[in-house]
Amino acid sequence: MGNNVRIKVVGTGPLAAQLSAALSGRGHETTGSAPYEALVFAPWDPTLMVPRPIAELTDAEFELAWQQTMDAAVAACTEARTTFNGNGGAIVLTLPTTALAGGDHYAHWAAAAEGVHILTKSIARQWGPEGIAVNALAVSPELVLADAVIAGPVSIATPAVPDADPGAVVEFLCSTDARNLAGQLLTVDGGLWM
Amino acid sequence: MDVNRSLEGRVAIVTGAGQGVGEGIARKLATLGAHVVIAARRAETGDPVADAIRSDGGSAECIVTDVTTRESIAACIDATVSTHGRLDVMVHNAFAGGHASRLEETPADAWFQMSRTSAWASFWCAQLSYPHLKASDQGRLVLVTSPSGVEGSANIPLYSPAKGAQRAIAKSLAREWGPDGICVNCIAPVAETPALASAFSQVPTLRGAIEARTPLGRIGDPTADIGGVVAFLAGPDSGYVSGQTIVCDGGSFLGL
Repeated sequence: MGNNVRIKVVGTGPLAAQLSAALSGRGHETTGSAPYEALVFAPWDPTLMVPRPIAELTDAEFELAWQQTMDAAVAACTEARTTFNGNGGAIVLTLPTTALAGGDHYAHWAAAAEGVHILTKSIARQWGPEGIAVNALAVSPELVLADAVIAGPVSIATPAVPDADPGAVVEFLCSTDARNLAGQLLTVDGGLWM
Repeated sequence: MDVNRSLEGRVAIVTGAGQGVGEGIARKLATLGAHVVIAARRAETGDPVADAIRSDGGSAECIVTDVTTRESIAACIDATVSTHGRLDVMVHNAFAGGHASRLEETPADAWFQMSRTSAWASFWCAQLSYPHLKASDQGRLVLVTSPSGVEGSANIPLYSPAKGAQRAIAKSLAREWGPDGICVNCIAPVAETPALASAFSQVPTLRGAIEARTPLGRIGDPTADIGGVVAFLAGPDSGYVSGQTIVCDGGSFLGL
C-alpha cells in the first residue's frame, strides 16, 4: 500500500462517516465494494445503540446488538480476506471503550463491542501469516452510544487530549506502516481509558 | 467436609455442572454448605454429580437445563426458588460448540452453539436470576469465561469473542447492579476437563504449549483449583469485588 489506499468502510452511523471523511481528506479512496486493500469495520449507530437495563432487555434487542454485530463483523472480515486474494491487507475493527469498561444499561452493546475486540485478536493470530494486519481502534462512547451518560464514566479523569481525533490513527492502521502490529488496540478517547 | 461453612444456607445454581469445571465448582460450593442445583443438559451426567455431593454430606439436586433456551433457564430458576425460597448465587459455566477451525470455515451450527451458550445464556441467566439475587443479602453472579476471551485464539477464533463478551456483560452488570448490592464477576480457568481433553485431541500441540508457559507447571484441578476461587466470589469475603475477571491458570496469562 502506498499513500493512496482503497479502503472499504463498513457502517452507516456517524463514526463510519467521520472515519470515511478523515480517510478521504487524507487522499485515500473510500469504497463500498471490492477491490480494496483495507477494511474499516465501524457499524456503530447511536440510533440503534439505546440503553436498556438488563431486566427489561428483550431477545430482539440482544439479537440486534450482540448477534447481528458479530455476524456482520465475521462476514465483513471474511469478505476482506477473500478480496485481498493472498496479497495481504489491513483490517481495522472499531469499538467504543464501553467494551473495556462496561456500561450501565449497556450490557448488550458492551458484549458486542468486546466481541469485536477479541475477534480482532483471533483473526490477527490466524490470518497474520497471510500478511493481513488485523488491529482495533477504540473510540469514546460519546461517538456511538445514544446515551453515554447513563452508561457511566470510563474514568474519573478529565481527558488528557481534548477533542481527540481518530482519523490519523485509522489511517495509520490501514497503512503498510502498521504491518508490524497484530491484534493491537489503539484507543483514541482523549486518554480516559488507559 | 470443610470446617469452613461460609455458604451455609445459601442456594446456588451452577450451569454445566454435570462435568468438568462446573462439577468442580458445584462440589466446592456444596462443601462450604450451599445447596447446589446441578443445572446439567443431561440427567445422565447431572444426577451422578448430585448423588456424589449428597453422599459426601452435602445438599444438591439435578435440574435438567438447556442453556440455549430462555425457557429452560427460566424453568430451572423457577423450580429452584419455588422449592428453596431463594437464589443467592448464579454461576453460568455451561459452554458448547468450540471446535478448532479456520474462521472462514467455522460451521454455522458451531457458532450458534458458542454464541448461545456464552453470550445469550449469560444474558438470560443474569436477567432471570436478577430479582432473586437482588432479594438476597449476598447476591452473586459469576460467569465462567476463558483466558482465550482475553487473548484471542488462532485455533478456535469465534470461541474467544464469545467468551470475551461475557467479561463485558459482567463489567456492565457490575455497574448496573452495584446499587442493588449484587457482585458480578468472571473467572477464567484452565483445568483438566473433558472439554480441554477434547481440545487437546484436536490440537495435539496444545497441552505442551500450555504446560510450557504455565509457571506453576500443571493444569488446574476443577474442584481444588477452580472451585475454591468461585467459592470466594460466591461468598461473604468478596463483597467489595465486582466487574473483575480472575484468571485461574497457574500464572500462564499475565496480561491483566
